[in-house]
Amino acid sequence: MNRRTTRHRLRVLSGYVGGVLLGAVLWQVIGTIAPHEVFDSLSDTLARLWQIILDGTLGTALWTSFQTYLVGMVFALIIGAFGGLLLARRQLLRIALEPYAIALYATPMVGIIPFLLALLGFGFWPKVVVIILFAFFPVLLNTQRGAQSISPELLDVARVYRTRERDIWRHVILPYTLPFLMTGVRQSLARGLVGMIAADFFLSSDGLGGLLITASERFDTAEMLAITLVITVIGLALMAIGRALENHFARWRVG
Amino acid sequence: MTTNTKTATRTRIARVSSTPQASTTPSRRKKITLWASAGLGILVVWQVGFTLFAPAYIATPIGAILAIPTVFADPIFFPDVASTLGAVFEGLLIAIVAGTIIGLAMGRLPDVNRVLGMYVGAFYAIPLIAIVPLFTVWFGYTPQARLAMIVLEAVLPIIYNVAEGSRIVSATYLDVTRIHRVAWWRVWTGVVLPNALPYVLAGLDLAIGRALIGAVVAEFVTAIDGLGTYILFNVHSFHQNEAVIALIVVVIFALVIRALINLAVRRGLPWYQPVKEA
Amino acid sequence: MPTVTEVEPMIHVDHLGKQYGERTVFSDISFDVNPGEIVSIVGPSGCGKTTLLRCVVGLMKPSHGTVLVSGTPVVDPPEGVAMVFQHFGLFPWKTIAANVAYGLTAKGVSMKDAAPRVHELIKLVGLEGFEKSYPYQLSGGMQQRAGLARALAVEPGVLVMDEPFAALDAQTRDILQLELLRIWGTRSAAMMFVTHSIDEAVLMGDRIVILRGRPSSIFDIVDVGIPHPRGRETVDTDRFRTVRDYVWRAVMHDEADDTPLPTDADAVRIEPQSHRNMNGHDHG
Repeated sequence: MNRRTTRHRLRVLSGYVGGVLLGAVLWQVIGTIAPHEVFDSLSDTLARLWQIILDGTLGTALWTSFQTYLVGMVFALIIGAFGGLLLARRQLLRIALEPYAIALYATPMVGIIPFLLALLGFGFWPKVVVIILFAFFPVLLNTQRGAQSISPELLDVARVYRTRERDIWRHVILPYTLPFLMTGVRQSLARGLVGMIAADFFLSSDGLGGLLITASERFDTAEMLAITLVITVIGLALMAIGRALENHFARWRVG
Repeated sequence: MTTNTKTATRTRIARVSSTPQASTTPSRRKKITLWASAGLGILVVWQVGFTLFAPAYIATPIGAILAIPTVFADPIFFPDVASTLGAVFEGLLIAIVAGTIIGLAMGRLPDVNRVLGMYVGAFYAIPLIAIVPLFTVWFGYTPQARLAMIVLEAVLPIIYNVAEGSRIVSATYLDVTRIHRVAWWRVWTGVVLPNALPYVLAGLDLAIGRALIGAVVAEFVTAIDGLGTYILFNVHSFHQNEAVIALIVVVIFALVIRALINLAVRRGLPWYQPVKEA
Repeated sequence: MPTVTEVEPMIHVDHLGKQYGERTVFSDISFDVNPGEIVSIVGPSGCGKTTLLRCVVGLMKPSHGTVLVSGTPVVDPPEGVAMVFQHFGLFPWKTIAANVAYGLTAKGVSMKDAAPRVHELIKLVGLEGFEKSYPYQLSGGMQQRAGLARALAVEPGVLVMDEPFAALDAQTRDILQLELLRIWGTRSAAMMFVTHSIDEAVLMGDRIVILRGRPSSIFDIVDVGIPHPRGRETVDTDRFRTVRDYVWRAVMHDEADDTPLPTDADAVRIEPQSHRNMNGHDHG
């Protein structure tokens, strides 16, 4: 290990540590100076976090949110993957639906929530529908682009070797498309989380989003910050999972 | 038997393989026919399905079309449109300026990146609408809470893309400036900034959708005047058809603003080649 | 008639060495480039040719030794040096004319004042009619013509070329080599030409610096001894073949291999005096 890289690594590390410390100190100082109902210090936030962990509030909310999220994501994945493959292999359908897909993609899905509420009411399944609506698009789009971008040359190779259609799917189309699908999954994981919070906000007010809303109604800034912290950790963890999935399935893809 | 299987196999192979060759684009007329029939199909399914199986107050295409005069005659509709879209526009402008400056600083100055990078990364990864309740505490139930939300949503993809884009300013460009002994400020204005421009636009493309989400969520929570509130109020008072029109206005705004940006880019930046969004 | 040693060199490289941490890229490199002379630098890939070039023009700090350009030690890129890059380095947001003018406008000269010289250079490199085009609209060969025009626009005393034709297809490369020789014939710049192509090194260079070994150092400096103007037919001359074969064996010789290094070095040696005579292109 030579001196130059050691110094460089130290500098990078001190940047990260310094950044975290700076943020923590700023949070603590501002939280201490500002009135409690506006902003709360890091120590108060962590104390409140500990409290809601101990009394089970956080655990219950997490479990509720996790159920809707998981079910929603599974459906989003299935719809996105099959829809994407279908659109990629059926040109007429793709052309026919293209303008409507663009319009739907441009629609802020939160705007649909009040309609869903009127149509489906409160409860578990309406929330799942919201998460699906938020999350299925990136999977669909990436799968379609991936499956469509298979070079004719690869399919010609399969044809020259007299591969059966079933095997072309198994050995060429699906392996080629999978990394693209995983890019979609990575994007969907984050969007699904937005959908989950939005569903908690505007449908039956439970889960993590529900906790946030009730805390804001009590002007309980410490609890709001604590839950935001939890959501941040979940968001970062999901992003890491998404990256790992993408990298794992994209080993052969350059760039 | 064997021959049979062989023939069948051959035709099946041919079908899959011929797809890429067959994907020559059909004529414009055929496309428009396809679009029209698909659109009509969607509307008919929506109309018939909801008429048969849903309560009468649920929105249908015919209902929405019939509601257009009512909506346009509604004295609060256009002020609501102006309020929301104006705020989104203002927020996007703020986000472009702030996002470009912060992104450039992060991309070109490693120390800034080390301190800010993880915060930007964290904020980019979380559902920002979770911050709305906090904003209502800080800004009250005011348009400022909405503007703050729009800026926060929009600024992150711009920062992220600009930082990524300006980090990879081609080493050759910088060598060119050094060989020609160019002053540092000319390097920033003449090379780093134009180099980052495609990334600003890539970020902006993502920012528009996020800004609209931020605006609508903020309005849902705060109930300040705007399109989101218009939608919420009308749905709750069983005027879904009117609400659909408002939602369509939001979508059209998103599509129009993207089209305008594309047009401006094509006219104003003839060298522009789109980059992959980060 | 002056001999080479009496002329003050444009570039004087003195015991230059470069290390990255423990790894030594090259060491103990010394050579001169005289006014109006083309010196090719050739060596196997990864031997640090480009690093050497970057040290010479001040884009990189050497670990040992010094470089003098026009007698002045190089710290940062000096005045009067221009460079042509492997990947052209044209700014995609500038038109061809604005790219060619860059060396001037970046110093505050207005585009209008730069226009006559820009026009002259665009004509010289054969890009008339493409002034308002953007780089992406041009082929690689045309982009590199613009890169050459940009370098010449500042009227450099020293022109350094970092594998300028390596990113181009073979045909374009052949054309541009001869174009560059023609254009260089109209200038009085000293040129340092880095390439991994042995044929190119021989065709372009008045002298060839051969790098080899790990860390690399100078194996030999060869006088090419082929008079200017050179053309397509140059590659068919006996002298070209002799020099090329010698350089080829010097560069390709495998360290692990037991075959001896080229011992027929004498075959390429010529008297400096006869070189000048053969040359018929007096830079004195």
